[in-house]
Amino acid sequence: MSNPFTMTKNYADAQLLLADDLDQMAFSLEEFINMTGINDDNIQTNGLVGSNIATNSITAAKLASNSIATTNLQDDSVTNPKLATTAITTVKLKDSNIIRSKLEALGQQESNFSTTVPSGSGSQVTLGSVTITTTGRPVFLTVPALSYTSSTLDVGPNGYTYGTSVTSSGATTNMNFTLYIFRGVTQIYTATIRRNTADPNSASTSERKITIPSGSVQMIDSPTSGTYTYTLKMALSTTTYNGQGRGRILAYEL
Amino acid sequence: MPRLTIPKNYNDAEVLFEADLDDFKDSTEELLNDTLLDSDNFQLEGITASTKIVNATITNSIIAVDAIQTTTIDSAAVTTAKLIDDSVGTAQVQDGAVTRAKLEAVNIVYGSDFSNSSINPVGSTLSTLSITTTGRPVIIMCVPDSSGDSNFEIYTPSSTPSQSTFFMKCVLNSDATTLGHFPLGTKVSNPGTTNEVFQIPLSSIFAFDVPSAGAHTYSLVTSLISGTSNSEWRLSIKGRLVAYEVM
Repeated sequence: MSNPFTMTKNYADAQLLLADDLDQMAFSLEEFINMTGINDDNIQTNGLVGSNIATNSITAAKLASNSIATTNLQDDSVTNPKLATTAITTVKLKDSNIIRSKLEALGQQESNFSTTVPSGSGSQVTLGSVTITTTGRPVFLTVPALSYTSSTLDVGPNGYTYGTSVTSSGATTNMNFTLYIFRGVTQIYTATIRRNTADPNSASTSERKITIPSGSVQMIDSPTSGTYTYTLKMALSTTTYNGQGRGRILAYEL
Repeated sequence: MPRLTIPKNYNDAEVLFEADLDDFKDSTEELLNDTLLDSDNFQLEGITASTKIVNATITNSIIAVDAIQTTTIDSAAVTTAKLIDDSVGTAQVQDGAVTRAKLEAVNIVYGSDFSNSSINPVGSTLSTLSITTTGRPVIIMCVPDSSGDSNFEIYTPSSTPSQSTFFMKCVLNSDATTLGHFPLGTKVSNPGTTNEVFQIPLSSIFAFDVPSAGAHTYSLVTSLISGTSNSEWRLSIKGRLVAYEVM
């Protein structure tokens, strides 16, 4: 918008200068400054600098709605504190972009064990235990293998250890052992492993044993959030057999 | 530094010429029309934008590219509505930042407790459960019942069985598809002198399924292994099914 200032000129040489002549000059200047006003045409390009604008005077009300567009934002300028709490909802996440490295660590807890269970009459002997603190999601429990060793839960005649051959005159035809998992003092898992048979008939001279993979013990527990100790136990029901457990009790929150 | 400097060509008691006032006029016009005003003609902080600028007149085209920097943005000012969908990609998420609390709840379904201590003939359905998935793999397994007890056992009610080979199995189905067979059995050479019993952990029944997204029904049924007879055997089984979608 063109905005020229023109000072009124009513005088000339050899004329008597009247008060009105100067009044017109003054009036035209006052009118321009006071009424017409100064606009872009009167200001140099880049003529205004930040220091001409009062601090904190460009308030939100001065900004048009949606005036801050993507291009106005400097890259990486929206830092974490700038995001409102819980601002990132599902639709804001690009599909398949939460890759595994973005997840917190699995936080698995594990404990190796190799325990001989003496023969007895049902007393529960701890094979291993593990403690885990959860946020309230289900907990997966299992007894995976130890590296490079056979991980088993087994029973055999007194004196038996895995991989040995024992002849026991006291062996019976019936063998069993029971596995338990406790969460604290609460029993959450029970499984009995049993072999009753008449074969071979000559129990007094044959080694009998039951061996199962430790990995066959698995459980999903769904406690509320908290810190829990899971304990794997074994109990025998006869006095002529001893048991053994070797493996690793593993717990992780889903 | 444009300054208005008005030449003074007149003095007291002199004849005032036209040119004397012309310089006054011209110099004023020149500043405002040609030289133009710049920042020196405005006081420091002389323009109070909050009162001098009309509300909502600073539009996006007025704001320079990259003009809004971190320090310009108020804390927590970027709300959900300000983020475009799909704006948060891998690079925006800190490693390890997605904690369990940020994940949706585990999609886990427990079946009802089942218990049957004398299944014969085989072919009965022990348990079913339905789970609706998003297309991710599903773990399906047997665990102890809600009291923590379980059983997976074959046995002969008779202490004098005549058969020597005994096999039964559980079959885990996903809708109409067989996921896996879980046989349980033994063979003896001298049957007939005691009740035969063979019992292993129920949690040996474990499968990994990769179904399409949608509702799926898993079932656990008993079955007979082809070529065997179960006339003298019974299956005793107790526990419950559980299925969850792997995150």
